[in-house]
Amino acid sequence: MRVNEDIGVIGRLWLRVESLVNRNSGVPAPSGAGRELNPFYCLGAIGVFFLWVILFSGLYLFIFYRISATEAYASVERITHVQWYLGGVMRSLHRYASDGLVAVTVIHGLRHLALKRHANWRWVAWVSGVLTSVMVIAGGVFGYLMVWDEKAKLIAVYSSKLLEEAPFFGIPVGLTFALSENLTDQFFYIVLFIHFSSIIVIFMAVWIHLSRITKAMITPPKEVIYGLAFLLLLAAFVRPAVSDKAAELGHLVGNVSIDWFYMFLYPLMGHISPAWTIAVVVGAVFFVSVIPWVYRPRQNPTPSVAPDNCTGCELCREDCPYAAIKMVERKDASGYSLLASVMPERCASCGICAGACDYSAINLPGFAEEALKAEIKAFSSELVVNDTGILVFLCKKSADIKDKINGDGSIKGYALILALFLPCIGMLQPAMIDMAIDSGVPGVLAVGCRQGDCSFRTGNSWLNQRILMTRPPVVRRGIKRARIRTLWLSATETKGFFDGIERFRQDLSAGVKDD
Amino acid sequence: MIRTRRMASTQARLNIVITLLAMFFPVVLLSGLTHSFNPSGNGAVKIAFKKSGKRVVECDEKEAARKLGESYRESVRKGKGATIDLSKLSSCPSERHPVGVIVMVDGEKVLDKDFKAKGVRKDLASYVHEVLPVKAGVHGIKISMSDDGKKTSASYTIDAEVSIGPDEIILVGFDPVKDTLVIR
Repeated sequence: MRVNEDIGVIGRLWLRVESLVNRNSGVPAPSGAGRELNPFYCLGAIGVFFLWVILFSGLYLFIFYRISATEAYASVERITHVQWYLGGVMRSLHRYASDGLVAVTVIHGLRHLALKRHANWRWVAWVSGVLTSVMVIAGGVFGYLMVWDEKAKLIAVYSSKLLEEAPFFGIPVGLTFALSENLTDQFFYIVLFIHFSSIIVIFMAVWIHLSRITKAMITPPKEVIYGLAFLLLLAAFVRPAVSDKAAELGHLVGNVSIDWFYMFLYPLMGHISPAWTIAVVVGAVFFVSVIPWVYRPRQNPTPSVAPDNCTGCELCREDCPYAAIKMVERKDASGYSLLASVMPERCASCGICAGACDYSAINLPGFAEEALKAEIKAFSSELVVNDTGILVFLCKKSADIKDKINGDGSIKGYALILALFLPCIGMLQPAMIDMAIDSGVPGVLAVGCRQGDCSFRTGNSWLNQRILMTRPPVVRRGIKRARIRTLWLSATETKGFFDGIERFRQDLSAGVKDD
Repeated sequence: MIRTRRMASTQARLNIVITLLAMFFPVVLLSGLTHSFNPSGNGAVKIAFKKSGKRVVECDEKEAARKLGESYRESVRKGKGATIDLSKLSSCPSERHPVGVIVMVDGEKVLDKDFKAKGVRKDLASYVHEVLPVKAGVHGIKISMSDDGKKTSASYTIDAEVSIGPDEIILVGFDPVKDTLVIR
């Protein structure tokens, strides 16, 4: 029997926290589609937003920064205090957006791990994400060097200890920081060059990170942007970013206010040797990078294309959230010029492509179209007996009801409700909804993941648009929309599922009005 | 219906701000927490300089080059052809001794280390860089440096009484002009 997939204890805990945020975070759109504004659903986009803030505030600061061993500190002080109303604010935005970037990157990674969205076809995104994080931290550390205050001295002195352990550094870098006279403008030019380059490299890494997904969300919803802008400005005025004392090389690094998002390694170096620190860093990066292979959730088999049925319409390629379908030229006697072809290494086996195909040209193993339609027919014949029967199409990643479901698809304690599980609600073909309604089923309920948080990125949105007839293939115009309902719930929101069923049933008993 | 939607929308926005605030508060907090990297308040003696050790095998390259030039001119003069064999010059070993440094603080040896010459052939200078923590206060410091591979007979020494404040660094360098160790 097909039931919900288990997301594990950590996944459930994570979703419970997100459910707290979800209370009231769905803004009903005029179309009834709903728009989820949960910041957890757009962490990557928030990261990109922070990158833009960092870039533009950084460019502004660069105008007034002096690349000089003797003037760097004074120029930053002028920016911060003389021009506090703009330069100081820009500096604070630069700082807090950078810190926010590390924070959201970490939460983004942990979230994907907790929800088992890190392995198989997602390995490129995972590995590039880990390397991007390393680059973000390295780039940020170089940024702190530019100020040349006590924080910068800490970085310079401790990082040189690390570099001296590296076999390719023949000359002790620490000698540069032994005396103020040793410090040249050239050093600041190098630091600036690396800091500037880092943001370009990070943007390129983000591009790789997104290379295997289509229609990536790189801008958060405007409400989230306003919220972030407000908080960044609030932090800039309440706790502006300021420098420590100017770096004094004649003294040891003493008490320093450190940015724990970027400088967490340096306190560690007080306890372990530089060689061990390097070993810990390299080991940690390696270990985190290989997680997709160490901890690999099971993946369903990939779908197959039936060439005889494929018309080359490209809807499957258009809808695939992971760019796993390419159109190849065909020269057979079919009369069509293109044929869909699945790239197994990219395929998530979500079935969204099958949901986009009206011609039975794509079949997902275990969810063959003909078998599904036969099940719908069988279920429909059981549900036509009165006006409140509901056929539920349920995403396996959505509301977890596996404890309440019987082997025949019925739900314990609920008469005349039958559930049919799909790997993703995006796999539900509009023709299947048409078929159920045409067979006399009073109501069809499609249950998918929260809008904005489809496990396969876009399945719930595509179905929504198909019902609203804004994305082909569409649910037939003649079908009364009041007989179709959608519910967007996370795996832990089981109560929402049953509440939704009750409401739908009440509405059905009250009578379906013409749209 | 519209009013309900507006209320839900306002609540949603409030929810976003609360969530972002909850996420952002630790960000602001962790962005400037103080950490003590020298809780004991110690000072330090930093030894930092660049010095070439003496060559392991003394080889007079100038004399060898002069002789080579002479033999070249001679062969040209005698019409034997303009041939020159530079391999004799490059065969002159250029490896240098490491620079050995011994540091005594209040009569106690705190460092005894050889700093190898850099370069693939070990024919470049040695870079000496060590930071030795010492308690704040007045200390007798003696530094011996040898550049000829014989640690028993130091080529350079400096002996001084210095006052080191908390977190303060006393820098020991090498003045190549005066050819002597210096304390700053």
